[in-house]
Amino acid sequence: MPVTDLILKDLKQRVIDGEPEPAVALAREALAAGCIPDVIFKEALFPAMDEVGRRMQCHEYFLPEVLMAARSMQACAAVVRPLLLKGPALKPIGTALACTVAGDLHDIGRSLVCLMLEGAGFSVIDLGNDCQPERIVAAVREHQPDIVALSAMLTTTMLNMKRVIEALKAADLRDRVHVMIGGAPVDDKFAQEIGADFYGDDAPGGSNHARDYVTSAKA
Amino acid sequence: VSADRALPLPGTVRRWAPIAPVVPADLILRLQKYRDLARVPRAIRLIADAVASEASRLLAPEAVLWRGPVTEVDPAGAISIGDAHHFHSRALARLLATAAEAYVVVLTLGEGIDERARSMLREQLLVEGLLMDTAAWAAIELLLRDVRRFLLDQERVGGRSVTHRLGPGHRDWPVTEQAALLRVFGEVPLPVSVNESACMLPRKSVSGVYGIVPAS
Repeated sequence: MPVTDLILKDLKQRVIDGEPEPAVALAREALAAGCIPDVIFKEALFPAMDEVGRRMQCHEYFLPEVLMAARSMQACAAVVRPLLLKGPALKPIGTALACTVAGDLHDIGRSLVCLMLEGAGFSVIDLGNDCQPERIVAAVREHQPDIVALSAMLTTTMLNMKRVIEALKAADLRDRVHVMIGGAPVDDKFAQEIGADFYGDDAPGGSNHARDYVTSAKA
Repeated sequence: VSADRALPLPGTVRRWAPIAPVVPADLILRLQKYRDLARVPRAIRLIADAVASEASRLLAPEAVLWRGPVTEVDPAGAISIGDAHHFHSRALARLLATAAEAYVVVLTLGEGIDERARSMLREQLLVEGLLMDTAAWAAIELLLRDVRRFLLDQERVGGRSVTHRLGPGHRDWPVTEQAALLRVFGEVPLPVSVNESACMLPRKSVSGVYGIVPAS
């Protein structure tokens, strides 16, 4: 096995294990050994986050481990990404816009979804919490995302997801985006009722669906 | 629960500052679903230890307790407490089915720990922020356990017991009745408020009702 393959394999494992410093050292080593940045993402960082998502879904990993792995991935990406400009371009597989809807101040679930989308190869725009529909519509106009991911953690705020979808319709943007929803009080039935395209019951499920959607939409 | 352990008289309110609990790192990790603490990765264990240590210093708990009559319990889910405080929940009706009186409690940790957790999240210290947030809920659970133990001790003397706690947003009790529940306290200044989403502020706050029932 070529030495660069060994480095990438080790790098992938360090990201899975949530070890940012050794992972960054290996990312640097891979670059020094001649790996192009594009390959580091495709052969190590993205597959590592795939594996982390799989482990979370089968309850081998809990939230802190997922977040440590994401921290490792982001630390490596910070080293590798600037060099992308000098090599072959690594295009994101799509753009995702995520936010917690109006009246809701929760952050953790949305942050996790953003990390998993990033780990799946998306360019991610995180609008934060308490987002009014008008702000989301404006961001959709500006960034033209493929995916809009809405989060709500309260029964009182989940209804604002419907307001977002109605605002997207009113702005003639609904057909241009794939709307995913998630959060403790919502489910698949609610997603159908409000006209969302997908309900994700966890962050890896959401990012996997988003990737499948853009892959098939762009095929 | 506090240096002054007097219970409120029926129809009155008591406000006090509970002693801030020490939040064990093990409890934070267990709340994050780690049943086997030996398999917690070292880096996460270290963060949990640091967060636990810091969390206890950020707590500024305040509690308010009201005691009064349960005036109506319809098994279909209509409940009245005190003078004219009406709620709608079959689960609450079941809880209070044999209760002549009830306690209403509000407990908050103050702004400090929530603000710290949020600042960690803003700084992308997501593991730290998650565990600080969990530490806050752990502290609330510890405080609620103390409150219920205290109430049980007091009621046991009179041959009574205390049910578990039920609050708006749990089971079938609509969270939209949160503000109505706080009106039980009348004009007494509360350490919490309710926003238009029925979310209590500071965010690390809970409310709920305990039924006072005959001891079995």
